Amino acid sequence: MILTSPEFKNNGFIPEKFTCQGEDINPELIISEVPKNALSLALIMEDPDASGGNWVHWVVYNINASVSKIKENSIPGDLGLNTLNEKSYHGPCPPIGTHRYFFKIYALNIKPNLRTGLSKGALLKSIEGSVIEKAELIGLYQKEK
Amino acid sequence: MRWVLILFFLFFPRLACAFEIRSEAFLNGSDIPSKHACDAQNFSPEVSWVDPPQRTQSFVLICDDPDSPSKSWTHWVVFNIPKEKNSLLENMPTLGTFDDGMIQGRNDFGKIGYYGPCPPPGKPHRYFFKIYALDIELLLDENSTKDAVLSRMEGHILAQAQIYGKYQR
Repeated sequence: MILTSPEFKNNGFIPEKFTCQGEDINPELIISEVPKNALSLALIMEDPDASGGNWVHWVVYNINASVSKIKENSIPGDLGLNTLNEKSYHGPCPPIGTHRYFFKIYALNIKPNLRTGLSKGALLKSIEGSVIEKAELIGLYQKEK
Repeated sequence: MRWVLILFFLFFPRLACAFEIRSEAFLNGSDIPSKHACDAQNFSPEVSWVDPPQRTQSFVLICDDPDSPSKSWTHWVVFNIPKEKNSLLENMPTLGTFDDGMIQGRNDFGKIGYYGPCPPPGKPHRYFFKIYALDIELLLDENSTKDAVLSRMEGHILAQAQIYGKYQR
């Protein structure tokens, strides 16, 4: 399984449009080579460079396994809670310096019927033992240039 | 002599007062209820102020967190608050421009209006609510950030007051 974005390369800078300094909408993502036996997908976006540890920006799951493209500014599945305690995408907004934003997609062998509003921790617990494959895309962002 | 002083302050209590800001939500230096933070409703707290200078033309209210890794994370910027006003009610709508000319600018979350404390897990952060009495109104729009507001009001501050609350996750 491969996760890419037409908006930025792996380890490249995320355009401002997708951050708190722009429109704060999610970038388009392309998911390819999803395992044939996957029944659903889950996506987590997080920043390990936040001062208090991982800052979760986006949690989406119950995504149909046939989905190969997550459109810009879309809700591809059921939303979980981010660290702002919101059921939404929340773009990069680092206080200082360059942070890395990990987009992680999980191919799951469970049907898309997890309950909504899960935190990242609760989601990871729910999918434990059900992950067939995982893919990752890293984007960078810094406020001052 | 003591009685003369007491009588003096009874009849002229305003002389003993200074520009001051308060909140019904928390006392200066105490914890901010989670109702006003991202963990719960994220409502802006009620704030009020007393004894502004007579020449005041408008007020500016800023809430920021000096304990953020960036040294100052802005949560709320309100400017052109009419001089007749002496408070902002709880749960202000996330609206840019109000009918009375008051404007809420953009905070460091990139959002218009108030966004409550949401510190990374760890030590408590302090949230300062600062009120400024200005001798002008500001020619700025709702996309203005704290820095833009601060630079425009330079040289126009008649008085300022502040309180802070704490929040921890």
